[in-house]
Amino acid sequence: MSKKNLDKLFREKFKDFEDVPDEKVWNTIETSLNKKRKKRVIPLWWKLGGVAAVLALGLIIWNPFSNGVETISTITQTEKENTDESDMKRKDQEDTFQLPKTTNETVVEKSANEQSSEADSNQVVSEDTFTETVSDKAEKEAHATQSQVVANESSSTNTGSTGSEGINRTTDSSPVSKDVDFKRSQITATNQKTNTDSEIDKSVRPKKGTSDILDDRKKEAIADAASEKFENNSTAVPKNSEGIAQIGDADQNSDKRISATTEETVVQNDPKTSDSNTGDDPKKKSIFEEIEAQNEETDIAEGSQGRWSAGPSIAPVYFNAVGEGSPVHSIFAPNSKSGNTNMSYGLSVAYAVNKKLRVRSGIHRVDYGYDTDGVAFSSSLQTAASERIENIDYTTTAKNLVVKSQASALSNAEAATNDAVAFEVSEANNASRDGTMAQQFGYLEVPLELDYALIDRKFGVNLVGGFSSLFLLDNSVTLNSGDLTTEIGEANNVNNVNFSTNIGFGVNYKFSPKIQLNIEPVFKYQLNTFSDIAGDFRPFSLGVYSGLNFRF
Amino acid sequence: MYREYSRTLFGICLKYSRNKTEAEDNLHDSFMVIFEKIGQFKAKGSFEGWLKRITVNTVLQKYRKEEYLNVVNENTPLELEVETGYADIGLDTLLRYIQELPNKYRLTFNMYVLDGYTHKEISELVGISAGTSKSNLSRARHILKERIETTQNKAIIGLLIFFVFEACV
Repeated sequence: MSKKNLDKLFREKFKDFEDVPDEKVWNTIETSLNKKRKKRVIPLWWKLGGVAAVLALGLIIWNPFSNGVETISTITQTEKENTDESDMKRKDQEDTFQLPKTTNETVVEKSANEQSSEADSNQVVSEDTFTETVSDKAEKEAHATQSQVVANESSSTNTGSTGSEGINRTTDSSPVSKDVDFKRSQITATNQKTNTDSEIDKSVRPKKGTSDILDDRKKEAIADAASEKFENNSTAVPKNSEGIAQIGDADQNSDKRISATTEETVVQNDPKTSDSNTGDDPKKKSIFEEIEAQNEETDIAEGSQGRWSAGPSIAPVYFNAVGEGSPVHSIFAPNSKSGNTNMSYGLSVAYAVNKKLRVRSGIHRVDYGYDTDGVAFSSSLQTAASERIENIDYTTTAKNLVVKSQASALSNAEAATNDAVAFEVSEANNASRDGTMAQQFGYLEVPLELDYALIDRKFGVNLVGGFSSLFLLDNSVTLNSGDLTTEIGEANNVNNVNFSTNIGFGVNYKFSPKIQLNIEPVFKYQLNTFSDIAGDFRPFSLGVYSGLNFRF
Repeated sequence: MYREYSRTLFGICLKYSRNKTEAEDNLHDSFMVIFEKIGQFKAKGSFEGWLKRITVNTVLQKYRKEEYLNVVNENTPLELEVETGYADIGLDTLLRYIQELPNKYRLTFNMYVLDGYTHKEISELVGISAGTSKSNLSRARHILKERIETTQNKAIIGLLIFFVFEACV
């Protein structure tokens, strides 16, 4: 029997003492974490919703666009019944998208809701929280800015599938969110069980998430490394996983990262002191890089989805023209013209050529219109052919209408026979009404555009350029005086087919990899709209196109 | 991360807790704290060390709240090395002895002997005086020595009986 120092005895026996805890311990941890996360999410959403609502109200009150022209259609948003159906857990956010077709939105929200209820991640459910009258694009743009503000403030705005992707994508995250992020990604990385609810695993696992690769490597490193000893006689040299150090460098390019983890080895030697293992530092700090790296990964997962996308689109479109002229008649050339805003609605289809570039087309029904001000009209018993405006095909009821421009001293009849004797009769006898002459065109527009994504994150910015073909469906010329609207007829100098060149930019918000909301102001310069113009009349349109895209 | 470190940290929990169930609870609580504070970890020092400290602190907090007998005996000899003979004693048995120590003794013994804290550190973390820490350690050692020797004595007696039995037959 030999004597041994008690301390030494115990020390030796308990050196590297470890034991495997039951699986159930992890289960309880996970449950507690999820419970904590959910609790924390809700107050966050309340806060965001409140901020968004305040912003919305502020922008409504101070309307940046004072477009005095009456709009043809006002769309009243009604609160969706979905508010009940929507998750009790989620707070309604400000509406960033409005559609007259409630069914569409219901479907969208339903799917968004379902996805959100499945995944254990923070969600955005875009819903109407208040009744609004959309009368001009100002509101749309206000919402666009709102959503951007929200993005900057919010730390997690992701819905549905990729939780870690969304969470980590924001540029400024508070420490709180970092915790949430880290938890999320760690849980994802380490959770081996098939979690059918969370699509995170679905998107991450098929890739054999590099984080999994990392984990394996880390395990190796740990296995190799001696456990930290606080004793002075440590001779252990912890080795660090190479991939992790590499990730610290190459967290932008996921491909680089993947190759890095499979190739080189960077061995960090620990200083001999046991207190500070500075060699482990790159490993530690790069855990956060790992989170970002996991982003790229889910990015890849996302990219491998369908290239086609389609969806409805709606836009208020403002139409006007530059130049002084009038396609109706030369006497109206000096009159002031004011543009009208109409709604355009349709379907758009896009094909993703590569990650940044998409080709877009679709079909839209669009109405353009403008008013000519300072017009007086009266009816006479009988109008001579020369009094009629050539460019208009009169309707039968309007045959007796005589239209004059107040800006010009001459009536149309007089202008036609300019050097002839004036018809005093037309001036003198008839009581004429003052008003505006409105010209309206209805087109079917088929655009062909390129969509280049400048920023391709949860909130994206893209550039749009291209051209459209427009097919005339109907047009009309009417006279408006107060409440009275009189139709003159159809203009006959409007081309059946004309083109426009389009340019614009947009912001978009990705609810999920499959669903995206766009809001794009686009300027479309119309080419060869009219075949006969007096003067210089170059029409253009400016519309704020909002649409929902579904990728498949 | 859980998979990597849970074993080591569970080992710590086992040492510091009174039994396996408590150890599991402590492990769970430790990880909750870890996940919550992960954002606060600066890249200085070792990650594993940080995890261990959190775990130890979490367990310590448990026992801080409990009543304990604060025997302050400043006269205890310092750093008494206790010699003891030993037969080969199993790890499980030793672990059991540790777990069966009174709380404060166990904590002190673990921290000083197995995890290398100084008495000063122990006094700060556990909330006792350094002197108490030393006396706790000493007492712990005595208790452990006693238990080991008892076991050994039993073993020896058992052996003797066996030999006597052999001799008789």
